[in-house]
Amino acid sequence: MNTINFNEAVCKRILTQLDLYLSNELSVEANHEVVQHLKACATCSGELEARMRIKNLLRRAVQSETAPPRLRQWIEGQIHESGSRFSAFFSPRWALVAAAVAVAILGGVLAARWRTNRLYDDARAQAAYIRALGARLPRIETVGLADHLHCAVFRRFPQEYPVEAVAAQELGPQFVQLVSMVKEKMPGEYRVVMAHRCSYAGRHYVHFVLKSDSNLLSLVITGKQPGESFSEMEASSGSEVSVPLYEVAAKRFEVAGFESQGYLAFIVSDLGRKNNLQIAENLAPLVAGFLNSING
Amino acid sequence: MKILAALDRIPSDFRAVVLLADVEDFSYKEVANILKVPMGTVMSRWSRARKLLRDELAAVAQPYGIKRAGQEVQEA
Repeated sequence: MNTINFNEAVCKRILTQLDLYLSNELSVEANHEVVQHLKACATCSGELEARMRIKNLLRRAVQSETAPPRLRQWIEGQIHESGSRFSAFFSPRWALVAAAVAVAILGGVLAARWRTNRLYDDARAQAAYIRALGARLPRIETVGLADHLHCAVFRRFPQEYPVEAVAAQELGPQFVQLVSMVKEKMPGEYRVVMAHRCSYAGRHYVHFVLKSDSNLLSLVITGKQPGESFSEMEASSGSEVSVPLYEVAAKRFEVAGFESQGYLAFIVSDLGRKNNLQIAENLAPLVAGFLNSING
Repeated sequence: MKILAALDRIPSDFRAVVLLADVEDFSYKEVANILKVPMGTVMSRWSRARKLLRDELAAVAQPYGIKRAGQEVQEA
């Protein structure tokens, strides 16, 4: 590199722009100026390399520190268990490979969920995270995502939740029938860990939280406000159900929305698009039919 | 573990900027919106966080080329 002795003030100005340069947030002109300067200035290009090293080191450290020891032990247990399950379909060697792949995916989901909880450990930070994710979605879809994040993701659930015993009181007579519908249409491994009425950001919800071993999912229902409808969005093309589904994604979260005459409903999870859509397809016709029936 | 421990030792306002921008990949503009602080504050917190982290990491991360704050620029 042919180095030039730059004026200190120029280097100082470039150094203040390096982080924005790294995250690709500079204007075209400013970006060009930084690139040209870095080509010729060993001091600033050295500083850029140092910042990239720190960034990569931190990212690797946080992402490899996927979970606390208890969770890691649980994942290791799952590898063993999955290996046994897969051995019914594959040779022992391939069963282990299949189990490792399955658990790697599972580990990734759990790690991401654990990181989210670690990062956003107070109400103010959680509200900020919800706003940030919502900013990437059509406004109507943020309604379902916000309640899932607020009420399901940032919460711990009791091991035992006697849904039948408490549902009538929690949901009221108008919505209690939904419990049996949800149980009927959800895959057997899911259990209802919360069924209640809640509110977030001034809006009221009927909210079901469902969990399997590693999956967390919400059915979120809220009354329509004037003018609210999915009609301006394009329905999912692959869906074969009678109720149109409207899908969006924000970071790792998938949202599939549908509507009745007076209600908006959402299936929200971090199970990936295919699984989230499949569950929405199972639930939407029955739930939408029920919601239409109670519109009066 | 030592790197995470170093991260845990810096003030939480600084740590939030580092985690949001570098680990979660939010843009600086988004970080400013999330934390409800001006962009300038995000930049200065990240700058101060980096100095603290370099000092914290210098002992454990020499093999990765991380040196104490100031050392990088002077020696580059």
